[in-house]
Amino acid sequence: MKRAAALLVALTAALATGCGNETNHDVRQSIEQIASISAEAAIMADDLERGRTKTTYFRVHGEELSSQAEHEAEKLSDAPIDPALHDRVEKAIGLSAEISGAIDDMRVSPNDAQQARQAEQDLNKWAEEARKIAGSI
Amino acid sequence: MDLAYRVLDDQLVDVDGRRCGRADDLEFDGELGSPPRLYSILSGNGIWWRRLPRPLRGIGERIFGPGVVGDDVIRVPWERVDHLDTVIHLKAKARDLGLGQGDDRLAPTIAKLPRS
Amino acid sequence: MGRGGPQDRGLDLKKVFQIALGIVAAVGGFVDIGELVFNAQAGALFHYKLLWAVIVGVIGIMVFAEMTGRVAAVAGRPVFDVLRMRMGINVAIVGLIASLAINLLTLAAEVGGVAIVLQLLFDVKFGTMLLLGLMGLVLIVYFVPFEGIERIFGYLGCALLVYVAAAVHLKPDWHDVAQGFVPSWHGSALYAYFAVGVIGAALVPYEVYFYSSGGIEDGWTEKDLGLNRMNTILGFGLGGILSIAIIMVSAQVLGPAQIDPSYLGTTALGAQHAYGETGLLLALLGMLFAVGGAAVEAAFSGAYTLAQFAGWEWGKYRSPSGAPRFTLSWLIFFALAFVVVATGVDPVILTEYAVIFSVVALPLTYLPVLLIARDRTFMGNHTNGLFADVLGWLYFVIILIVALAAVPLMLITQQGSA
Repeated sequence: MKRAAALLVALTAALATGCGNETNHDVRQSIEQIASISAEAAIMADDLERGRTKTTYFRVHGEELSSQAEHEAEKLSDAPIDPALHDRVEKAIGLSAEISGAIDDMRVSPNDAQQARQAEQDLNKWAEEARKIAGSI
Repeated sequence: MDLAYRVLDDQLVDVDGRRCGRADDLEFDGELGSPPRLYSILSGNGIWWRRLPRPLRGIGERIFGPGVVGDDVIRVPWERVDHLDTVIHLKAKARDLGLGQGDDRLAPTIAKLPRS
Repeated sequence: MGRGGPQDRGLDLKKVFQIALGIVAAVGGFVDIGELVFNAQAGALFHYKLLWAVIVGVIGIMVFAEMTGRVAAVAGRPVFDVLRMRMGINVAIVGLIASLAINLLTLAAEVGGVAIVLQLLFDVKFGTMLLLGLMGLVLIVYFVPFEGIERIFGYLGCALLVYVAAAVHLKPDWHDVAQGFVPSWHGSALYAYFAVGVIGAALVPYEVYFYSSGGIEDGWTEKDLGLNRMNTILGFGLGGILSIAIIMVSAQVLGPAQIDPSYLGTTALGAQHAYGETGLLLALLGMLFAVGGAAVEAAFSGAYTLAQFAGWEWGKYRSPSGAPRFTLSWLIFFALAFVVVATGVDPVILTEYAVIFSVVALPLTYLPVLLIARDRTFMGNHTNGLFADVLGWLYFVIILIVALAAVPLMLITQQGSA
């Protein structure tokens, strides 16, 4: 009886730990995706500023990246999260919104070089921040 | 049996060079005690289920057809075979042997497409 | 018996020119969406460390394609014909079902890829580009002769050579590049998964079914064995350079920024970063025709597979009404691919599944070809020589290992994301 109870406790603990770890892994992955999107958008912003891209490409691929950033933010918002991660996740969600916003602004005004230059700097900064958050999980 | 092994699953080609099925199964005849003689080639999807592993034959029959000679299986007498090389060359046209019916049925429909 | 006069030299030149054009078409036709996806990801994650896997895959397809081309030229038999004849109907049915399913996945991925590239070029809704892209492919395949199809997609696919230029232009560390060609182990399932993916993306069976059936379509005989060898060695070999270039550009542009190339647009970014708008346009044009060509190959491959298994009349060299079930088959495959992509599934994800499952099914079609290629009954004096035989069996072992590892690695790494 005692052995069965111990096994049950061990299994439950293992499952609980496993579940927590899986969620942490998913959270880290989502934030890494956000960082990736931001870094890529920064390169695109640089090319946009220097007139080295095609508007149709920027608009279409920019929309893909922007939607993906929003999607990652939604996943972070919906997932059951370890309370210890709450602040970092909120920060990542905020970054995601800013990243999407910057990409969408450039999509609307692809000829605005100054906006693109500023966006590049911001996107690089946000990518770095997102990476740090992901690295800390 | 070497001949059977050689012929089974080979492509059938009629006298005009048209591909018209495969040697999906073979029929032998002969008397007890004497070596079997290759009697005919059976061609058609209806025969496939018979060559599946036993547990799959039921479902195979339902998918591929019951194997009714003259319907989803055509019997080609061995005398109608001209010669063998990389394929089995037949002495007659596919249509005369009852082969290639699927293509014959579909050809008028496909012929309605441009430049067909 | 004397030396050839000017007229004969002119004929030789024409032959050389034709061979060269064939090689160019093979180069441009080598890359498909699988290479674009897996190689870009491999470069971004592992820099140059998987270049050796490209070599393994390219040599593999050279070996496989050379054998199938030789069997087609000498024995007059394409791959699925060989499979059914050598392995019997039960193995052939399994091979048929697996091939058709994988072909459909691949075709859907390629058709989806065409739509994505058109969308990137013209900024029109994906659904519209999917329909237009599909109609364009079907019309080209229907009205253009076989050789013309190979040429159109092959030549225009060569626009992807912009990646070769970009790889050099971005000034890589050549010492690091050279080290990438030496197989190494990094102790991670993710690395193994991408090694399998890069090898699998090069060694796709549908390309070999198409190549061997194409040999029959082109009326190859023993006289074309040299052409077969040139096409497979030079054509696929040079085509492998495109794959290497995609990894290198990805390693130089995406890797340092830790970008995960989940989109075709991301792969194009590498060429844009090197050469601006010109680089981008060449990359997109190259992708359009390389992926479009692969879609045609996949559709035909499915139709060849079905027709050859059942013994129907087949071939583009026949009129559509001369091979009605074959014609209907490839039309239906295109239609089914459209339906799959129209459900909204991501073509890039479809690609990953298609490559992995292709690798799993590969031993089933490779082995019968190897056995026939060594069989004097069918090949006469043109059986595998010692070198070809050793290489052939070595690759069978490699293919088996890769096939067994593919699905477990896909699950463990969650399709390369873990």
